[in-house]
Amino acid sequence: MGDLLVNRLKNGIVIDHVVSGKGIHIITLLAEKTAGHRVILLQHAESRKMGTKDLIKLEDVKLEDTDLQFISLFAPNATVNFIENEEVVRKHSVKAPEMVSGLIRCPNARCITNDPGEAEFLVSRLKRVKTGYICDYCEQVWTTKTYPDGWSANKVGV
Amino acid sequence: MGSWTNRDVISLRDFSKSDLLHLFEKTKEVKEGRYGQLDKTVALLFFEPSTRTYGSFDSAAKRMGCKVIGIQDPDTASLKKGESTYDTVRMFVGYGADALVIRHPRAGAPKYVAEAFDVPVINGGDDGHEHPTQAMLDLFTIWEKFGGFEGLKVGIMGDLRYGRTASSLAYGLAKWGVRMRFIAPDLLQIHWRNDRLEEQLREMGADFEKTDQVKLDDLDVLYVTRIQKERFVDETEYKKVKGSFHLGQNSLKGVKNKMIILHPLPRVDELSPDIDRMDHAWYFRQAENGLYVRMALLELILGD
Repeated sequence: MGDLLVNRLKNGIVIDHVVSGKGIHIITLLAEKTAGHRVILLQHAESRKMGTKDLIKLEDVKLEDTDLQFISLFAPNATVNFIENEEVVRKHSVKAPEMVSGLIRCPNARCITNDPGEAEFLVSRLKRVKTGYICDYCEQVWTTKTYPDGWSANKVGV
Repeated sequence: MGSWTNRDVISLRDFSKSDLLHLFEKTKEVKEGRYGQLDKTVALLFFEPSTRTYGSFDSAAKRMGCKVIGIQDPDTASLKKGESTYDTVRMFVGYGADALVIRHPRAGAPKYVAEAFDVPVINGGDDGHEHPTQAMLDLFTIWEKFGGFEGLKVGIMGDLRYGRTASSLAYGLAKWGVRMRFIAPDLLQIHWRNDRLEEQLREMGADFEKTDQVKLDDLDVLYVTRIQKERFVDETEYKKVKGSFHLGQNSLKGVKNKMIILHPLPRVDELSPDIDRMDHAWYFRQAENGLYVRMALLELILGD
């Protein structure tokens, strides 16, 4: 089914192997990028590797490195297919980065990175640990499970 | 041992055992009256109220011959007018501060300031996160009493969820492999902290147990902390645990003769004043050590 959707897209992006149910977060995070474009989200599709997965198709959308970092947070094993004239011109296997800077904000309201005055100067920074990411300043843990209740995307990169 | 010159003091984890032992030896010298004079300016920037930490740093800096500038009361500072931490600190760096002591209600603020400015930054307590200089004086007091840390068992009791002194002390004790007992009702236990203290202690191979039972007879040190009312998000949760531990002379029956009680102070109702007369009561001596440890710190960081 995934192949069919990739083939049908003339130009754009297909994000495959997204953790089941997490695709909606990626679409929300990329909302500004995809405004006015056709977006298809397929949830809980069958997958041999994953059991079930989400798949996202973005028509005539271009993604930058910061966008790929976002995707990596919610879909650490996703594949991003770049489509031009119905051909896959590039496949990018997403890898969760060791460090994320300025992409998401800390869920801890009492963290310095959430001080309204400081946010202008301060880029939030998160280091990868086994359980997810930790804020480099207050050490609160971020996981996709806690998103989006505790975490909001930073304005940078969205 | 790392160099102490111009060093930031952000977390106790940044200091090795030999770093800390060097500090303790230096503190001992200071306590015996052997210290020099520094022609430096120290900015005390207290964005949150403090009595002991401010007072001891103020006194320590002045005894070391330093000029002291800064803010003591955040209510009267420009912060009330909405000035950012960055702007406030920048101003004092511009006034010639050679070191900054930062107390802040936001976790991670001292680290942020240390990254933003070249001047050494000493964390005077950041929210419920860490209070490394308190832990240094706690550790010094234990070292002074027992001559080391080997074979000791330390109980840490009270608000382990929101307290910043408990976390820094635990990191320090873990370096020496000291056995720790975290004594608190479940709501205030270390597993509810938001800074991965428990996971990090496990990663360090620390030897600890958690309990809600006040069992003191096998302890060498009992470290008592106040419940941090101001850090509770939910008032009803505070009411549930308020007064959950209260120690009086009767509670100390059967403890080791040499056992000492420490408390970062201020106390509320967790330590009865009738304990003050007992040999176990070391908390005022501990508070006094705060002066000497901070003098030694300034000398190590700002000295030639």
